[in-house]
Amino acid sequence: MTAPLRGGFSVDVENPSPGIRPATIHVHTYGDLKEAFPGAYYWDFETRSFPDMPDQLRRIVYAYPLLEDALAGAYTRLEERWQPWPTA
Amino acid sequence: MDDLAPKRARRLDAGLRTILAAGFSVEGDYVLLARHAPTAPAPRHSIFGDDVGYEGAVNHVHVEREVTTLRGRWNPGAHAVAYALALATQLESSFPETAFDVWATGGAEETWIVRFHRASAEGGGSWLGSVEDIDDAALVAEVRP
Repeated sequence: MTAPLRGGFSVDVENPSPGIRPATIHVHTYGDLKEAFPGAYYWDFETRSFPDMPDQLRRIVYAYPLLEDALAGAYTRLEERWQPWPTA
Repeated sequence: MDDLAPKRARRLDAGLRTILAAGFSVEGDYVLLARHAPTAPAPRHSIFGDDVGYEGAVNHVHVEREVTTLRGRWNPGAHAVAYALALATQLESSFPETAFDVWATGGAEETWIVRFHRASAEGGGSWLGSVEDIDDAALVAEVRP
């Protein structure tokens, strides 16, 4: 039996040099999750996904009910328009 | 600027020392923090823009999230600067032929982030256009062969 991972994650937005360097939205993990996934996972604005996020972490992140709100908030900070995900 | 400068840390926080102790990993054309290398994303220019953007992103550390001591939590700015300077020293000894820029940015309104990237041979391609571009405090340590 595998022990459950305890931890969390944050969705960060960074735009240090507007016009010089692209802004990024990325996910950082905490707690046990950080041990397993210590880096940052970046949002691809073209594919609207986290292309390098491992499946195990992706399942956790995408299950978070406020993920879309967090991404929409990040877009707002970048003065970009968030296109809502299609509903099932 | 003096009032923005954090007090010096007597001893670098243990959490930040752990990152330095892991060292670096050379992945293809990139120098990465060894701790981040196994989970580093692909160097997609659609996300990172260029090589400086990629290294600066993969090698960024949020100091407030890494410190493990009370002193570190109490004065993250000092530990950010101390980590940046220790990082610069370690890069210089590990890659004596390579030029790097090490950035520590943060302040009263922002959390502290330390990052590094190789400096381009042309002298351009810096993480920030200039320190004038940011509102709080910034330190850049230039490591030059």
